[in-house]
Amino acid sequence: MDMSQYLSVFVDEAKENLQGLNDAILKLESDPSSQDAINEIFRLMHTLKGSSATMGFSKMSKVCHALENLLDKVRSGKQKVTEDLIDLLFSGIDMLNDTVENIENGGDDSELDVDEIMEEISKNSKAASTSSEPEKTEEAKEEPQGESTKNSAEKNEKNSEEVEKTESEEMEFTNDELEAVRDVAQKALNENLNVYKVVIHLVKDSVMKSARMYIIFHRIEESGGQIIHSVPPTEEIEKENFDTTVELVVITSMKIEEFQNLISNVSEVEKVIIKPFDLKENNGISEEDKTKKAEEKKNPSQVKSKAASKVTDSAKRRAKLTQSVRVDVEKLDTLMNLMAELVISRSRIEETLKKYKIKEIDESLSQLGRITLDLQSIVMKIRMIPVSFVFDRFPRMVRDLSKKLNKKINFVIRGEDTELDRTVADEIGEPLVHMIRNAIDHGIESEKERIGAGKPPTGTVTLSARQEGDSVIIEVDDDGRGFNKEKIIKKALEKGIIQEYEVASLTPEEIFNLTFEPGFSTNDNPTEVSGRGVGMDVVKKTIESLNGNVYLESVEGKGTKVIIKLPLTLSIIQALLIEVEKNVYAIPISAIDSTLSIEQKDIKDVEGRKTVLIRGEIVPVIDLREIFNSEVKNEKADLVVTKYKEKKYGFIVDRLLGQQDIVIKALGKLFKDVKEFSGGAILGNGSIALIIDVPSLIQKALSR
Amino acid sequence: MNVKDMTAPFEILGFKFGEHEYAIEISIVEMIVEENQITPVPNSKSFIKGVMNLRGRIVPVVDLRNILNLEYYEDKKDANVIVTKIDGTEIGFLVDGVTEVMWVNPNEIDSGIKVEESKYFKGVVKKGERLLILIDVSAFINDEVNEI
Repeated sequence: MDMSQYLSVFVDEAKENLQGLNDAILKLESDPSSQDAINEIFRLMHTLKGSSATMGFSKMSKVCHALENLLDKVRSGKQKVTEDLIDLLFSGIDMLNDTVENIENGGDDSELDVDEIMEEISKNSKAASTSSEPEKTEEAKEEPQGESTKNSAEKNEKNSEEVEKTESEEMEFTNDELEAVRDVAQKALNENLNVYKVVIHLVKDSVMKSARMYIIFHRIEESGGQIIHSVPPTEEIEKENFDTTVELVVITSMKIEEFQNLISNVSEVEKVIIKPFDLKENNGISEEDKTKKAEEKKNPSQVKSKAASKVTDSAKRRAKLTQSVRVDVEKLDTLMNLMAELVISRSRIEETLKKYKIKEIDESLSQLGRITLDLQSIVMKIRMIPVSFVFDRFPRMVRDLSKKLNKKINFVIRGEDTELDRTVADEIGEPLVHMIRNAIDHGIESEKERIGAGKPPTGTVTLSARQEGDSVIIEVDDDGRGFNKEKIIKKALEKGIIQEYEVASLTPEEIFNLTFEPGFSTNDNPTEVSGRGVGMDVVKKTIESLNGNVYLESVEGKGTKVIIKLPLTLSIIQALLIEVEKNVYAIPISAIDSTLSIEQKDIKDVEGRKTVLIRGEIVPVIDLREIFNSEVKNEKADLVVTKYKEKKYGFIVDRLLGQQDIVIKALGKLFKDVKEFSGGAILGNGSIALIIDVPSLIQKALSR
Repeated sequence: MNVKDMTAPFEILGFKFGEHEYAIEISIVEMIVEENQITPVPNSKSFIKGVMNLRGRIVPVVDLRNILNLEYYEDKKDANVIVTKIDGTEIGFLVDGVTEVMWVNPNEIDSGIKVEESKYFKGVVKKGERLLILIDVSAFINDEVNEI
């Protein structure tokens, strides 16, 4: 059978499995007793073994099998989870990863060195068995008590299960979801966090119930709280399928009063009742559910079937979550193009029909308009992927780095479900690697240094993402040594990035941003990990090529924060349409400061450069009519004031046409030396507007 | 089929500029469309007429008169654009009108006649009384794209 058509599916799945394995092994490392993690590793390894064998990659399958055997020993308690074991698992995963990459690039698994990993595995198991011998005696001592130490974790689990069972029997508990809630709550309480049962009453005639609830949810989450249960469930709240009362179970570090203040000043909230969550009580269940329970009590025969149906319901829900289809990005691009065609065809039909003024067709046309708009927004959304796509690989990288540099790192990821365009996501991986490496290598101090400075010995690096309007903000934050301004200035002077006379006028922000200049590196001893003077300038370049910004904030001794601001999507921008000699051009709104009408006499000649006085400020102007070879010059014109490197430049145009969302399309190879246009956009009437690349155009005009 | 290798019969597409007839190999031709709003791109190469919207794609349009050293005259009303695909890129060529698709035998080509001083002329195709000048547009585009 020809398997080649399944190859891409295999590669995608294998990558996903390997990512999952990475995560699970990390989990096992942080909690060696976690049966969940072991089972997860076992399951994924088994899947990978099966699929690689099916595809005929026998060496890969062999390695998986060997690792699986090793894990089997761990699972049955014959082998302990040691640092060596984790390293061995990781090196195995890395080998498999390389192999999958090789397969993806058209190769096979022949380069996989099975013997090497086998040897490592057998070495490891020998070492483990010798080291575990003395423990056996200990176990033997404990034997009379009935359980071995190795099984104590399991035993605990069993015990707690039993406890829960008895509890639920007492309360006629059949809802496994609530058991999960209680489980989480218990863990939080163990960690000295507060768990509250929160009952929120909205005012009776509230018009935006779901919006109010959204604000409340948002505030809770922003304050570091976590909502672990909600009645009605969030999906129902979003659909406004609730009366005026919502019950939540929340984990937070805040005190009751603080928490009360946090949410009670949201408008349209009538009353908030907060009580500590009682583990034993029948918590979190709404009145409605209670009556149901009561009914169930009356009809014990039905309880089982209801419970069963509930379980299948939740199982169904889970199944629905994972229902997805893999689609080639190229196909999505084609879909986008087709959408654009559809929109244009529609406007053409509309324009043609306008001439005939047929009433009957108006409604169908506007309906068509709505449908195409909806379609367009859905196609856009399809291209969005969560940043976890990029973030997922970092925990492993941080672990390896922290081992290599011997620094303890607490790596926190936030907002990994923030979505952005696939193309943007593909590009930000590398810059983030640089930034995280920098944070760990340069930012976080050695353990000794940290203790000396009165900081916790473990350094914290936070990677977070969030959406702000039309942008996505990604931050890498560390609590390390921070930047020393004097040191930056000294270095910048040494490297000739700035001149002595400039120093006095630099703002703190400008000083920190010197680190993004090419050839800058404050670390005196470049290390293997980072600090070769490349990196930050590459980061800046990449981000700017994505129409984004990057800047740095730092407090010496406290830490550094690098902030990246990216557009939600690359392919659609907001633009101002302008006209020069009957041709339409688009200027990205992000580059525009303001617009105003001018007359020919307002344009003054200052030393050969045209300028216009705007509110007392002399602004150099670029006459687009000249640049675009227009012969006519109207007495009246419009001026678009743009920003470039913190300076203002005016563009003289014939007239302004209005603001519009446009889809950027490349102009192609034949126009590679026409830098003043970054692309073209197709307008509603089918004509093309060239998109002006403001920096390039200014540079070109200045060099004239 | 490649123009460089003119040993077997091949198909060409004939088109006109004024009274002269020209031809390009058919294998690179995707479609022929009527000329419809070409947007000029200021400061681009002299042989580029502009860009046009081809079913939602932006396609450059080349004015062959520039390559052919023909005198400039006002654009014809019902001109055509021959849309080609050269190395995966769609490129349109503005012509006054297309004539027909025809088979050419190698013996119908006279590459000895020097029509113009251009390396992109591949010879003259003799079809009865008609003379068509065969142009290698792929070579021209490749040279322009790869030019440093």
